[in-house]
Amino acid sequence: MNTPITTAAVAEPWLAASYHMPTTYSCRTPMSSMSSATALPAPGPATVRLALVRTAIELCGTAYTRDALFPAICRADIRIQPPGRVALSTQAILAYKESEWLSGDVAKRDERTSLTTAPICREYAQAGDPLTIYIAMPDAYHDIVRQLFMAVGYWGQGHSLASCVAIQRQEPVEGECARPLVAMADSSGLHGFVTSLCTEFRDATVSWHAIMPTRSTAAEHAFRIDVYVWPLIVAWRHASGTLLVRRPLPREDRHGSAGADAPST
Amino acid sequence: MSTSVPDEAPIPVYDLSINVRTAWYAHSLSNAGTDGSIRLLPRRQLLADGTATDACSGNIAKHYHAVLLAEYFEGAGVALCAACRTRDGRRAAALAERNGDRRMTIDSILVNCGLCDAHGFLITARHGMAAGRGEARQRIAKHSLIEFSYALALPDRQAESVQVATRGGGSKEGGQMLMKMPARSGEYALCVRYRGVGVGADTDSWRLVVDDAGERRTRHRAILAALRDALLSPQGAMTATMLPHLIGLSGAVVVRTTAGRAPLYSPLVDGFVAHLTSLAAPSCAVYPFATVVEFQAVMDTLIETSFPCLPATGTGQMPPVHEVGGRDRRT
Repeated sequence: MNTPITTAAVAEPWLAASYHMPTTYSCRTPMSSMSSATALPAPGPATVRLALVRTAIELCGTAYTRDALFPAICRADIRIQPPGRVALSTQAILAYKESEWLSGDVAKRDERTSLTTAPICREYAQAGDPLTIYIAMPDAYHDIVRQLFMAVGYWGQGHSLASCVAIQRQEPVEGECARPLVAMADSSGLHGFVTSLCTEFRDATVSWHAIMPTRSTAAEHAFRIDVYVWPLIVAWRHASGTLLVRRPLPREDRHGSAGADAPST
Repeated sequence: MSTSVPDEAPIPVYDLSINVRTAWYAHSLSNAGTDGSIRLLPRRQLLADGTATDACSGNIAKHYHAVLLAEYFEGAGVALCAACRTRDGRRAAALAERNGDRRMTIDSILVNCGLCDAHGFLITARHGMAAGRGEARQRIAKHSLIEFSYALALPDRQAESVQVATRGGGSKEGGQMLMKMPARSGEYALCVRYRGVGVGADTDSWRLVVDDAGERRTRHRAILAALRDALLSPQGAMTATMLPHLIGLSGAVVVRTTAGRAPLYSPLVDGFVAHLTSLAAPSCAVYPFATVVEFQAVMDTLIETSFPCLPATGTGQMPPVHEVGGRDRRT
């Protein structure tokens, strides 16, 4: 059973890392078709964790990352605040894809697949404002996590260039971060907000081998996919693309009912 | 540290970014296909301020950089695999298809092909005979060391003219067909990132495979030379009959000399050079340029004096972390 990620009673300090996205970026929506890929407005939580792991391997080595950092990265609370305005456009590009060999060429009878180019569509986002990643970790990890965040160079595809412009101790702004739908007690005020599938680690006990599999390790499901609600509404949509604008998610009072902040769309 | 031309002292390059405004007139470097057979469609990208602007895909820039880099490698005696010698864009994946070579390893690929090392490759996993697909194989891959962003035209500095051209018809009767081709002009914001530390390295495990410093430096110099030429002599779609006029080049080259990332800042923003210059630090050198000549001077000096850093792993640079008890935060 999927369990929501909730904040523990004794809060660990938050770090906020802000990224300037100098050009277009594309984080593919989970489960979207490779040949017609939609883009998320910001990376999902699993992407953030994997980026930290990857960067840690580069800077600290595999053993140190596996033994000292990976458990803490798995346990950490992560929140993602998308940019204030995000524009999405669909681009037609060429991609390599494997196709079953259908040729009658006897000389190629041992070739079962071939790599061919084919046109695909992929959404690309552009944002003028920074996107912010929040992570809650014990103080002892803050120095190293700062360096990891500074060294993350892209979000999504390799050419989705990113540059960390600020890291500071700051708590997530209420209502300004994406949240899993299952974690919201009352969904009645969410009409008009952008939703999408996002990937998150299955739980805090995901093993190293689950994300770094080898031939000798058994397959293990490391991820789960949830519906996330983004603090974004569609400002307008037409042929050139879609413009999303950030709006705070409705407040949830102690009784779990949404406040009167839902957008009227 | 911000200077117009790098010093003559050797410069270690861990990461390098080029943040540039380049003015191309009368080009059709990147297009989004046709609407059938009559009109070639320009590529457009919506920006967050609500304007739609002309865009040039980074894919095509990367493709032409790889082609040029192969020429530099051949001139410098850097080995190329059979696929890259024929400029096969699939790189090592084409060899896996042709030969089903089970001896291919990440080490053999990186040692024997500078282009696969620089521009990356992907050989997908294959499950084997049970799936009716021949021998099983493990996934082997390396990310590209060079990444090109989309070139986005500054919205208030772009123009388009539709030119009518003729082309050979597709019918058996032959004859000519009219075609409309956009000739665009504008000032484009472009970012390029190059990770010098990854030259000759397996960037999944960060293990140095090509440990000959001279070979790494030769590859590094060729990569920079091809980057310089790619900006000074733009190539892309339709350049056989619509070679762009390069009108101007301004921006900044940023070099990170220790582990980390060279900052990037969008040239869409006025004052981006000043912003980057303000980020200069002992481990982050910024080299602004305002003309084609200054850009060439910066790049020529980097080609002559810089070398790729060694991977940071195992150097003990990162501070130790003391466990604070593994309290599970999730319920």
